[in-house]
Amino acid sequence: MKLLRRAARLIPGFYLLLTLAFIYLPVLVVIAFSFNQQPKGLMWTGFTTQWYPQLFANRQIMESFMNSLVVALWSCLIAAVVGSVGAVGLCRGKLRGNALLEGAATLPIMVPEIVLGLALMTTFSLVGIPRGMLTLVLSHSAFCIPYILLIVRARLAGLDPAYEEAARDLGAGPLRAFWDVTVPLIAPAILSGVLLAFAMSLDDVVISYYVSGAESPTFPVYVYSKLKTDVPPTINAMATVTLGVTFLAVALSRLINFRGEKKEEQNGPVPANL
Amino acid sequence: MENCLLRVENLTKSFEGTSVLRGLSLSVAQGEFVTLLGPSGCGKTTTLRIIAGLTAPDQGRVFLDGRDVTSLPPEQRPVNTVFQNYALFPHMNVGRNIGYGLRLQRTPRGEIARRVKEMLELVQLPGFENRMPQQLSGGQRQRVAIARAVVLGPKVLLLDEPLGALDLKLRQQMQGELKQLQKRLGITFVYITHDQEEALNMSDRIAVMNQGQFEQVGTPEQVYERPQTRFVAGFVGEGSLFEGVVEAIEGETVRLRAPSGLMLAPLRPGAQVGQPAAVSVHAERLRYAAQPHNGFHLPARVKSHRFAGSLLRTELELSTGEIVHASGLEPVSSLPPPGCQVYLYWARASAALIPGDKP
Repeated sequence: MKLLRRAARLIPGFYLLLTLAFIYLPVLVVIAFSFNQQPKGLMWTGFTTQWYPQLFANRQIMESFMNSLVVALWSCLIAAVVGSVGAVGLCRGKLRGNALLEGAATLPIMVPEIVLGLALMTTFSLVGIPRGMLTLVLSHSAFCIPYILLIVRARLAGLDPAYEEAARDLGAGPLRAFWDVTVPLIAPAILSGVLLAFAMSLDDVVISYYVSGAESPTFPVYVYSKLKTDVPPTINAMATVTLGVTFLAVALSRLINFRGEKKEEQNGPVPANL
Repeated sequence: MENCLLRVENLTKSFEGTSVLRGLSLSVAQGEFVTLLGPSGCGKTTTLRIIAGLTAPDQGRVFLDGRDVTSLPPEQRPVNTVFQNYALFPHMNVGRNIGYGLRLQRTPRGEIARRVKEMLELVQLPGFENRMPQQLSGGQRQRVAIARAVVLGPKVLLLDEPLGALDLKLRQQMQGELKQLQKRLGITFVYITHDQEEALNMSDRIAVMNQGQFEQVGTPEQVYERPQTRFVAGFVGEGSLFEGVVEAIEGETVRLRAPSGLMLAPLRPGAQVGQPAAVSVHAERLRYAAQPHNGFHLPARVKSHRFAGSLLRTELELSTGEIVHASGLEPVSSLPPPGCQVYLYWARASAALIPGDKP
């Protein structure tokens, strides 16, 4: 009996381990094989770092990678401004149908990418914008905005209005109070949203595939197109680098958001009063 | 009122159909310490926010120094607020918090540093310029909030339960300090609290508020000794209220017939023979003796004595079953034991008559 009970106690840990393995083992295999001498196949033939210099020496790969970075940076910038302003509007505005508006603003997260990509491509060709960096930036901005909007809105909703009121009371006009007090207090949320959006933009394939021009593939699109014809030997190294950048962005985003919340907590609870 | 600095007239406000203020008027003199005292939800914070300009009244006007400021935004009113939870900017250090208002006025940097230093000395936190609000204790935050609001030299300082978050000892200490600060700076204070002791302690005048209206405005003595309404009698101090009918008026004395017996109170305008009225007596003014005394005839039975620190509280049951509390300084040994039949009485002048029917 005792033994059984002890075994039973191990089950949750084992379950967790199994789940984590299920999620991360394939990823770890890719990382491991990026250091494998044999470029293709699943035979481990020895350790090497040769694929990394080769990856960085490949002009097409590096160009597509630069494309990805440029698109991610611009679309994050646009989304940061549009998303934050939208969040403030949703939080402060006393518009009718605020809930509907909020639903509509976050819908792009729910719409299948394949549909969104098609829609964007159709729209661009209707309006007459040639596919290229511009269409990429516009499309990525479109699906990045909801992430920033949601995160900033949550932060704003939890923010004590007394801070801004105190600034007004001390002589600041509404805009000045917003800039001096509210913006610094929601800045961690904006940054956190930007990093999440950055990660989203960086690894998007489906939408980018629709709207990128032939000369300006993003990194994932380039990788995807290569996979169809001939798997390049640097494929695992490529995947590892992408993974690293994405992971870094998400981790930073989490860290910043967490710290922002903690700071607010330390400042004491806010009782409701008439 | 002479040298009236702040006047609110006929303020009304409702939130989503619920009436919060119902026609509030008050005048505050230059240098006065006025407290709005009332239970939570009585509308005192709303009144303060209307004076600050953070909430717009539905009706009524606010005058400052004779000027109508009702439609001025908060940043243009010579009024500053100490918020309930202080609302110190969490991303600015103490020095920048206090200097924020001066910075908005484009005060030169050296001047700001000098005035911030002065303020921190005034609130007994010298050298705290570089601390962050999160690093301060509740009492320290409170002092910084006061310094931040006072540094601009407002005509009126509004304080929204500034001591509410502090523990008892600190609260009592801060009461004294705040009162001193107010005297020293000569700034008019409008202070909010639900703590009657705090209000009685610090105020020049108290406005007792209930359900969006002032029940009584007067000095602490007036509010305590001569409550004008049943609410004030019940809210300020600890005492008993006896409902009855005026039986006779003899000179300056009113004789009231209550279900529990006959009692005396000083005459108050509005009292009429045959009309309902109530008598309010504070617990420390209640006496009892073995024989009817002073023309009273209020039979009671001692239920218990309870030791409450400096005071001894005695619970008495009247013939009607009503329970009243008396408090005194006498040692238990000198008092009639529980179960004893006694007669309740008081000095006529220590009671307050509240003419009129129960609302």
